[in-house]
Amino acid sequence: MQRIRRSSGQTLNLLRALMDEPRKWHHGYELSKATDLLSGTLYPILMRLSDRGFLEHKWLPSQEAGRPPRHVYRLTAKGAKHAVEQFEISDEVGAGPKRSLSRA
Amino acid sequence: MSALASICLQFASWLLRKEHSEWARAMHSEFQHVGESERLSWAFGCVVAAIKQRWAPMNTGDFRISRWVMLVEILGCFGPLTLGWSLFTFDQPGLIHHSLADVERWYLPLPGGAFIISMMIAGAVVGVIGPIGLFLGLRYVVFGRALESKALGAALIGTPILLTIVGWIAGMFFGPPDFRPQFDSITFVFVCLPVAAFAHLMYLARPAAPPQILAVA
Repeated sequence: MQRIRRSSGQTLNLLRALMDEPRKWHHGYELSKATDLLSGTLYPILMRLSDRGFLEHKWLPSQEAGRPPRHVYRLTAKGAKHAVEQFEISDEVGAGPKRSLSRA
Repeated sequence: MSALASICLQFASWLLRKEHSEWARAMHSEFQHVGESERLSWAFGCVVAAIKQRWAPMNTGDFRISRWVMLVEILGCFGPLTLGWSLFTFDQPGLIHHSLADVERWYLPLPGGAFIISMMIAGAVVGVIGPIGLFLGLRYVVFGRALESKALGAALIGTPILLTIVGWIAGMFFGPPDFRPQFDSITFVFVCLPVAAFAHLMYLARPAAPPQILAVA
């Protein structure tokens, strides 16, 4: 028996958004819009994914003049593998990514 | 509104510790790109995120809180009981200073007097869980040793609950005429808080959950 933690619906949503274009760098506001997650939910998940080595981030200059650089994110190879595992688990247990659970 | 949002962002930055300062800057930077109508909710969200991040090291979802927080919990849960018990038992005119003649003279003639003195004696005996809890809790804070004995834990949890229930039932039959069982602040402070803290100490004795927690065949 393999023991594995199942991500929350919110984390799954975020992983799906990041996996839609895995090589693209995404910024926080874009991810918030894509997942309907508010910043209070989005950033803790991003931080947690980053702490676990699933997410890489960097600063990119803003394309709009006069705006500050943006912190952008994408999944690491480990993160992409984790995402695929989570999607499979989600399919197995029948919990769709839209289902919101209490914890990631 | 922008001033409030700015205060929120500064507060979030303050909450996030130095190791997360990059995330604080990320939130602040992203705020500049958020639509005007969403800025305040974004800023509020950043405060929520910062609070969650600060809370995370203390609460790993399994009540394994920091020892410093545990110290506060222990003092809060066992301190009042220990103090109350020591005053009630040893201070003048504490129970220990009552002679048999005092009991016969002052308590037994009262309606329900036998019940009152019985509950006082039982309370003095059971109240010893206060200093025991204080000792066990401080031992955890200092040495990291939780309450490993299930039998002792069950006794420490069960005894005050049992005394309370027995006291309520016995009081209805043998207590003073105006006796009514009630859950009041005394019950909360002297029973519920110590019981909760003992349960927590027993919980902490369990092996930490593995990082992977959900079983999937």
